[in-house]
Amino acid sequence: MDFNVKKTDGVVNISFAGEFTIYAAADIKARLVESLGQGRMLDVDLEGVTEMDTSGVQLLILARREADMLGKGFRVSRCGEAAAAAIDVYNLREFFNIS
Amino acid sequence: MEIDLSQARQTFITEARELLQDIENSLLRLEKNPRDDDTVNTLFRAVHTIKGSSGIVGMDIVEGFTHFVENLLMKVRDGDIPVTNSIIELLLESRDHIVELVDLAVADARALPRDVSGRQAVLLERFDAYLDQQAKAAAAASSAVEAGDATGAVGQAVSTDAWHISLRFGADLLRSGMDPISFLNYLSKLGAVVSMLTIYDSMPPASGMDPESCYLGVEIGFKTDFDKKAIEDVFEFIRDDCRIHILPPHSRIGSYVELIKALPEDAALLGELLVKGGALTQAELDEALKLQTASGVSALHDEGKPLIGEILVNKGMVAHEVVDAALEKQKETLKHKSKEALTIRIDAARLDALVNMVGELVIANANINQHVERLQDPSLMESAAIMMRLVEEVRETTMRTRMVPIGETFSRFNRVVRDISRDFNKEIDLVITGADTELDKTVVEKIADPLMHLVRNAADHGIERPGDRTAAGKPAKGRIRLHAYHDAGSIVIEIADDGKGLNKDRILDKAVSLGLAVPGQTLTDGDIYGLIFEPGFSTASEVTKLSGRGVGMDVVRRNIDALRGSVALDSVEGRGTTVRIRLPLTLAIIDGFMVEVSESSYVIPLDMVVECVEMPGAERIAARERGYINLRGEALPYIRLRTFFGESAKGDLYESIVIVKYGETKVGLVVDFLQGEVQTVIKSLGAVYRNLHGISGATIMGNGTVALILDIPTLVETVVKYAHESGQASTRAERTG
Amino acid sequence: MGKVVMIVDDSASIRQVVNLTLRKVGYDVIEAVDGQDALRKLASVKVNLLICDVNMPNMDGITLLRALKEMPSYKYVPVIMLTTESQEAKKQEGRAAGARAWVVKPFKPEQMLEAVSKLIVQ
Repeated sequence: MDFNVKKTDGVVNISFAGEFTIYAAADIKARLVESLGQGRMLDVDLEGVTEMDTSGVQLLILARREADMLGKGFRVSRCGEAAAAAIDVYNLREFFNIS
Repeated sequence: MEIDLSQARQTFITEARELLQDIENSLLRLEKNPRDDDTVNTLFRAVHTIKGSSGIVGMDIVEGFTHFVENLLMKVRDGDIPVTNSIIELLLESRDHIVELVDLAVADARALPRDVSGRQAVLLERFDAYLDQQAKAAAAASSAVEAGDATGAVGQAVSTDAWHISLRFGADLLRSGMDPISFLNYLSKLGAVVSMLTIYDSMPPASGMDPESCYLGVEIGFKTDFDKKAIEDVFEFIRDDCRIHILPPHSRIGSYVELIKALPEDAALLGELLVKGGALTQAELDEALKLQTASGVSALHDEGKPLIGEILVNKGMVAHEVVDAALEKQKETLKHKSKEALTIRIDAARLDALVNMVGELVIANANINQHVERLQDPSLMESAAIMMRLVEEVRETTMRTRMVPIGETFSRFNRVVRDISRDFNKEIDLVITGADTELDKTVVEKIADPLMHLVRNAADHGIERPGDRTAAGKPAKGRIRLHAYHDAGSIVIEIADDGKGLNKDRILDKAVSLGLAVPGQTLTDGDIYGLIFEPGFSTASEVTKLSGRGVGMDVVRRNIDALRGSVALDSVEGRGTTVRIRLPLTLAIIDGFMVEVSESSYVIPLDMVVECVEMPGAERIAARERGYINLRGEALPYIRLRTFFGESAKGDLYESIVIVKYGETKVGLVVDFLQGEVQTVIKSLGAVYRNLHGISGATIMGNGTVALILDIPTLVETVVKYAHESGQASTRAERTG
Repeated sequence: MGKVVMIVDDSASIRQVVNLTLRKVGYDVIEAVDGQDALRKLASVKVNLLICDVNMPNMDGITLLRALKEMPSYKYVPVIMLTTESQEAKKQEGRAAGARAWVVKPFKPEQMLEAVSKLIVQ
């Protein structure tokens, strides 16, 4: 799993690439929580994700819920095929504000 | 990588033939009851299995076509294409086509012969016609759905006829490599997920959340034609790690109350989710929550099945049927499963080898018994008696392993009767009883054709058209009954129809004109009907004039004779005809009558022996001159086996005659000694001796000597032929022999 | 990208049946004859699912499973254990080692396919 964080106007954009799975779960969780604290809005880019499992989806849920609790915005701005497939299984497109 | 698939292929071929029979049966059932969803499912699964396994064993020509059949059936299963007679017709033809393809694949055909591929193209065109129709309908429907969406619904249609599946995944699930996504994905292959709500309430705040644990759950609305067992099986591997609740469509509100109680989340929240997912309406939820807080679940049980609202009562009734059907189905699946588990396939050759060895064992045992008799040792005799009983049991058990129920053969006739009914505008019910009756597999295989012939005759010539039937005061719908039962070591199969029956006078007239009977001869009813089985009695063109039967009836009898069985016919004009076939349960063992000729032993099948008489010297001389023997005034042709087998005559022995009967012909066999009844295991002669005239097999006696089994039909034929040629010839043969 | 399945079994015919069945529907299949062979091969390829016999020479299935749990890149890999009906005790042991999916031998190809499709998305 690779990631990249960019910040513009309080929007933290974090993009992931590679495996968004349980093998990287601890790492992903840390990145997401960290990024949440750095701006008013978290924008997640999953375009480069090649594989996503339930633990991945679960971490996105966690991030979205933390954002709510902290009063911050959350959206998945870009979503590759692998990520979309996993998110669709749980019918969470709307929940993640995927456009 | 090249893999030897020959064994898998063999398994597939057997399996495919069974499935194709199932498919035919299902289609015929569906024709009677087009709304039978279970049958549609059975049908779909059978086709699906054939497609899948044919691919695995590399029978691509089967797989290719079956794939299209499966596609069509999928639309039928999903209700996109209604079950009509024309589609059943198309599917029946497709099924026949698959039979042909399997045969071709067995013969290792790599490409289709021109005529077959032509037929296939026509079938596929007809498929397309259905699929096109359906596509248009679907297009119309989807535009309607879009319109519905536009009115602002949340997205998921309220669908109370869906299953409700509630899952809470175990914390360790992900760590053990089980990803719910895969299971949910698999579930979606069995039907349509109409609503999916993900529950994450049990997930702790980020600080305490273990990213490798699973905190999720889902509430799923699911439409499928599969049963509860099938849905449960999807989660088979994770059953122990998850909380799973599956509610069938139209479940009582009480079930939802129980579900809500069983789940860890807050009741009100869950209720909202269920409403959102479409499992419950708001009214239903209010009712459920009221019930839950007020009277509790137990009260629900006391009151029976309270249902909500007038409309729901009706829905509830429907649900009940659905549940009952599902239960029934489940039972059937279970029954099927357990049957499957208890059955193993065995190569027939291995079984034959076993039967053969048991035969040897019986003989060896008889041999031991002879020595035991001679030694007269009491304890040895006791042991030998126990052993003999065991050997006897082993033999019986072994023979039983070859026994199969006749039902499968019977069920094939449904199609024949259906096709004839349709082609000749008749209405015929085929009633099958005694389908569980068992008999030897070889016998089953060999009797199938004669039975088919008789059933076809009954449907074609026996049963009248509906108009004629009502005119004769009979119900418009005719009935053919197939019945099998065991009777005194044989199996009896009856084919009875309530058609027009036979006209005795016409049969007799015809027989006389053919020289099969003499005018003025007194014949019993049985004798007259027996004439039908005579060779050349009738031909196709004469069938209708003779009110009914006769096509190839001699062939039927010959087939049955070859199985050492018998056939009889009974009829009442205007009321119907019954053909009764009696067959031995097995071909491997016969009850025989042993005789001696020139110090060799011969076995005559006991059921062909009429009686045994002595041959006094005076009669012997007279018989030589006449060419026949005089049995209580009846002239019987005879043959001296000593002569027939080219053994030298040893002076004037005290001879005996065994009168045997084959069909309606009786002849005498002159032998040296009568040795009495024996039960023997038939062993076939090697290929070299297969054409030995007058011998059908061999058996080994307890003392190790071989006894030959006489081929009575051939002998009778020979004797009759000689007798026809003239008494002179036979006398001459006697002198020179 | 096709999913890769490894079949670990000392019986060549079982390996062939699994291999053939899965290849037919588009999986890539790698064969290993025992636990040691499996571990050796896992070091150089990425496998999405293992199908693994319980009783094998050199290294049995449950030992292999425990070894997988120690490997960073395989500790969460789904594993289907092949067993015979009489190995109930082994099943307990396997469960303790983390095995969840079991397929009883002899199995039909479609049963295997079913089990695999329940565990990984193609």
